[in-house]
Amino acid sequence: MRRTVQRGEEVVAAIIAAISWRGMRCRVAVKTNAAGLKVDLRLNWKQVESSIVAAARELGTNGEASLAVADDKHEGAAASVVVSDASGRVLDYKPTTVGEDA
Amino acid sequence: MSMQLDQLDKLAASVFDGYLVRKDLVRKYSRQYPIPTYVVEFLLGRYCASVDESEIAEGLEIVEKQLKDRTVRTGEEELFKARAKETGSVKIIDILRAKLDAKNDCYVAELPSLNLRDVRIDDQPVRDNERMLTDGFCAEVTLTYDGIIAQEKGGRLFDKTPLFRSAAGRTGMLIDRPMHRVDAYEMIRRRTAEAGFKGKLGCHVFRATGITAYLEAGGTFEKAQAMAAHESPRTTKLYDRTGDEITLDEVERIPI
Repeated sequence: MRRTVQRGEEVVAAIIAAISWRGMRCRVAVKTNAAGLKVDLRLNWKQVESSIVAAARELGTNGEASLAVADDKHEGAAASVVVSDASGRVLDYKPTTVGEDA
Repeated sequence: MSMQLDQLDKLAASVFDGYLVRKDLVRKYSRQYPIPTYVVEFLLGRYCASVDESEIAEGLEIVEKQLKDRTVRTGEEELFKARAKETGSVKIIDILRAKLDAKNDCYVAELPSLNLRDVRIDDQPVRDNERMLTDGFCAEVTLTYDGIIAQEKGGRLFDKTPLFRSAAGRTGMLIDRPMHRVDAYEMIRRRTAEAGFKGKLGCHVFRATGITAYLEAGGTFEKAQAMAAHESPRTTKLYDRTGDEITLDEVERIPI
């Protein structure tokens, strides 16, 4: 009898480590074991269409991304930084206030 | 568009990360648009305070759009006023001055680039920024248009209609002037006392009720903030009584 053991698919994990604001630009640091994750800023973390950034960004190799809020009418609004994988599944999210450091 | 950073630039950028703007961009836009240099610096500081070329390029697109949409060039005055009418409000960058309208016991603002001299403005921003009453200053202004007032003779079209309007003597006819805040407060106190409320209720109870009811019905916090015209969500949170179940039932006892 012969048994073949294969390595299972690694669980992708991501944790938002830091959020900082410089004007209307949000800098996000993420701890993750995967590459190609996307970072977005949404008014409702569940809804992709509630994104308020000029463009969602892919995480850099250093685990950081920078997002610009396109419309300054959102300044002071409650929003969520969202990290998702290639399929759009949300891995982590954290609340923030647009333009204000916590 | 890119520029070479020397050692000092790099050191400054690392120490003042997010607070430096490129002067070549400031010069470019302050020549291109009819606004002071410090306004361009402010806008660039919000979006382009970085040494990363891709971040600067993305930020510049936004800044250019804002400058184009918010600065009024000669001949565009009526276009901006029409936009305010069609969409309800328009954001502009302009010199903001205020003066006292003693006849109506209120302040009015001037927006020179739109040739507007009688724009309604709340008292508080004028009190907080006395320079408005001297030579004025350049500001980002959200100009709202209220068509209802247009139907009243001599009404000011721009800015908000007061919630509680004053009456012309004892005629019962409402005019476009807001009721004095003390009178509004007294009226609410009188009516809530008549309705059987023992506590002191003021105008803010209505705000709290509206915001709480909206949030309980599944509304978003951001939209509640927008409807209440609050600058900060922290202010809106003060009016959120979703944890207080008694409040709504009690307020509904007021006969309207």
